[in-house]
This record gives sequence, structure tokens and C-alpha cells, in this order.
Amino acid sequence: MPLVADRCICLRKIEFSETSQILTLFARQGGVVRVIAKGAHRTTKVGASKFGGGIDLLDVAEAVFSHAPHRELPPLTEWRLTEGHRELRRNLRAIYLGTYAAELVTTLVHEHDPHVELFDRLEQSLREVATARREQAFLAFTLDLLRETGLMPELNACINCGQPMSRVARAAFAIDRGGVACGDCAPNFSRRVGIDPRLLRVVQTILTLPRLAGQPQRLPGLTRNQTDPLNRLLAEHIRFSSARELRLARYILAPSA
Amino acid sequence: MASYTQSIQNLINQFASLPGIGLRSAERIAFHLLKQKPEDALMLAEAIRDVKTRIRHCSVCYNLSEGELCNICSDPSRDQTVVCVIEQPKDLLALETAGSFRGVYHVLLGRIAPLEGMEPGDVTIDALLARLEQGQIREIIMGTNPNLEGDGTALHIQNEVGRRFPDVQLTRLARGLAAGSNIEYANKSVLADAISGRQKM
Ligand SMILES: [Zn+2]
Ligand SMILES: [Zn+2]
Repeated sequence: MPLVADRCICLRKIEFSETSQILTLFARQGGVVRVIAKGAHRTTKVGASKFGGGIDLLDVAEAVFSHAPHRELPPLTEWRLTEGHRELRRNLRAIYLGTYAAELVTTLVHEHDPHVELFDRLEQSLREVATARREQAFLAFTLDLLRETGLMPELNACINCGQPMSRVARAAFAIDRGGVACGDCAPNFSRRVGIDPRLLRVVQTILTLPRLAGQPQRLPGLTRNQTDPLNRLLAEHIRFSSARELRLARYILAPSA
Repeated sequence: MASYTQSIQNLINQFASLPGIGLRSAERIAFHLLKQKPEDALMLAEAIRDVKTRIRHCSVCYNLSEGELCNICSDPSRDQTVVCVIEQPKDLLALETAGSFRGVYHVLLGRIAPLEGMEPGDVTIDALLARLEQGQIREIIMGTNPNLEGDGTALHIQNEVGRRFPDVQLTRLARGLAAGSNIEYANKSVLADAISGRQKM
């Protein structure tokens, strides 16, 4: 079995037995892969453990694993930690946003489907959510994820009459149509959530920002009053498009988190 | 290929389902029991029946116990004003072997793990808040595991306790290098924790 070395982010970790873990990794070159880490908890007397002290959610590492797309669970053989997110771990909101980002990637990205730019955006965004820029950084990441996976909803103009959102006073998002409708057209759609058109203009601003190494520059500062309605809308859209439940959505939308 | 009778196969399957026991070991244990005198072999069955009928959770701290209160909660020499919050009874056993903690514990019986569907209501946080309600506790030591879910659980409890009991002191177990280990084998996170948590000598 050939070995591959790749930079990886741990998206999900399930204790499989006393000594093994099943990991869902986002590999920079290889896309989402599932591997088994045998002996993950074992340490020698001098404190050397097989995977440098254990593998945690959101950890970034230079990893080595067998490349075997036909095989159910190829074994992980090396894990050299490069980012353990010390700052992120000190803030509950940062932990929830980071975990939600990981959940969104596992929900929307198919296994073995490479997404190099998206990987870089996730790595950057996990650093950003540890800072005071976390709200805008998380929103920008979600938008990039939707764009990269071809699931970006129509947020620019009414899906019924084509009127641009920059000119309407009221708007709603039609969940089963994946787009926004102006106040006049909204009653035509039964599954809808109201949205302030000014917030949709914020989205357009973010999407057109200049980028450096893929990362949007000079993101506008946003508060939860602005991001909560957008995160709620995008969560509804992702749930509908993927037909999957999003466990973290409730946590990041809770007033106390 | 010859196969075992149903009852032997059942016994082997039961052992093989235990953590750390493979099929070969399960067969060895099963045949060892078959060779034993009935009264000796049945002692194992009795021991299993005993723990399952007599062991329950302490009504105060949720540690494993044979009575209403566990042996730590019922020990008058333990300091009831300092509570160390941990995830599992086995974490309590590990801390007790160190022998240096004289307070009492609160066992969460899990951690908040949103991705796995483990929610705040699935651990014993409400019971901890009810203990704080009684007004005796002056310090809570967070002893959840030093990983993302353990840290998240600790921060969630910190929010809840801080909001409702602002006078209670909140601390967490130190993290960093393991005694008896080598610096060269420690990973980046552990070394950073060790540097920021350095102590005066
Ligand atoms: Zn319209
Ligand atoms: Zn007790």
C-alpha cells in the first residue's frame, strides 16, 4: 500500500476501541478521508506517544497514511502537530464556530474530492475565529464553502422578478428554492425565512472583497446581530440542500454561546 | 469445519465483545472456565451480578458507590468546600492515586460533544448547580480532559457557574509537561502550555 504525506485538519474523532480512534481528516491534497489511528492513546515511559501526544478535533498536522481508496479504513502512520489552536480553546464561541466549520465541511465535501483552496480557507479561518474577528471570518468561510461546493444560494436578486436586493426594502429567503425573494414576491413561497436586505448587501460586499492567498482582505467587522440572521438562513439552506441535520447550528445560534 | 456448541460459542462471543479481548483470547478464557470446578467458574458470574445489582451512582457526586453516598462524600476528613469536576469515575480513581487532593468531586458522566450528539443536558451539570445552590462550595476545579471537547465543557460550566455564583472561585488543572517524560517528545501544544504555565522556583 503506498503511503501519502499530506497536511491534514482533524474534522471528527470517534473513539473506536480502548486504543484506536477513527478520524475524519480534511487532507489538503486528498480531500476528506477517513483513517484509523491505532494505538492513539498509548505512550511510552518517556512520554513519547505514537501520534505526538494524541490527535484532537481541529488539530492541523503533517500526516502520513496509506492511500487506499478501495479500502474501508486505511491506517494513519504519522501525525506531526503544526497547530493545536491554544487561543481558540480558551473561548467557547470560538470552539463552537470552529467545530461547526468542521461539521459543514464533512457535510458538504465528498470523500476523496480534493479542495486545496477550501482547505487553506479552513486553516486560515480556524485561526481567525480565535480572534475578535471571529464573526465575519466565520461568515466569509461559510460563503466560500458554499461557492466551492457549488451550493451558493441566490442572494443578489429576487428569484421571481429579478429585482436586485440593493433596491428592495423587505426580503425573504425561500428555503426550498435556494434563493431570496423581494417583499412583493415572498408570499409566493411557503417555506421562507424573513431577512433584512441590508444584511444581503453585507454578503455581496464580502464576496467581492480583494483576496490575498485566497483570503478576503479588509473584512467588515460584524456583530452577532448581523451574523445570526445570516447564519440561520445559511443553516436552513445547507440542511435543505444536503438533507442532513447540522448538530452545531443550534449551539452557534444560542444567545449565550 | 467443526463449530462449537451454541452455549460455548455464546460465551466466546461475550468475552470477545469486551474491550481489549480478541477472538483467540476469548476462546482461551472460555476453555479455562470449562475446565474449572463449577463453584470456581460461577464466582465470576456472581461477581458480575454483584456489581450490576449493588453499584450505583452516589447521590451527591455521581461517583460509583455501593450506598447512597460514595466513600469520598461520606468521609468527614474531606474538604466539602472544594469540588473537582471530572468527566468519568475512572478520572476520579486516577486523581485519587495521586493522593494529594483533599476536596471532593463531581462526576459529569460524560462531556459536551456536540458532534456526537452529547448535549449539556446529557451530563450532570444541573446537579452541580444544585450543589452550589447550598452555598458551601467556595472553589470549583475544572478537571475535564485537556482536549477540545473537555475544554468546551469546562468553559460552558464556567459560564453557568460564573453567571449564577459569582463568588465561587473557578480554577482548572495545570497542563504541560508530564513528569518523567522528555521535552524532545512533547508536542507543540504541550510545550506552549508548559511555558505559559511555568512556576516560580
Ligand atoms: Zn420579486
Ligand atoms: Zn460522592
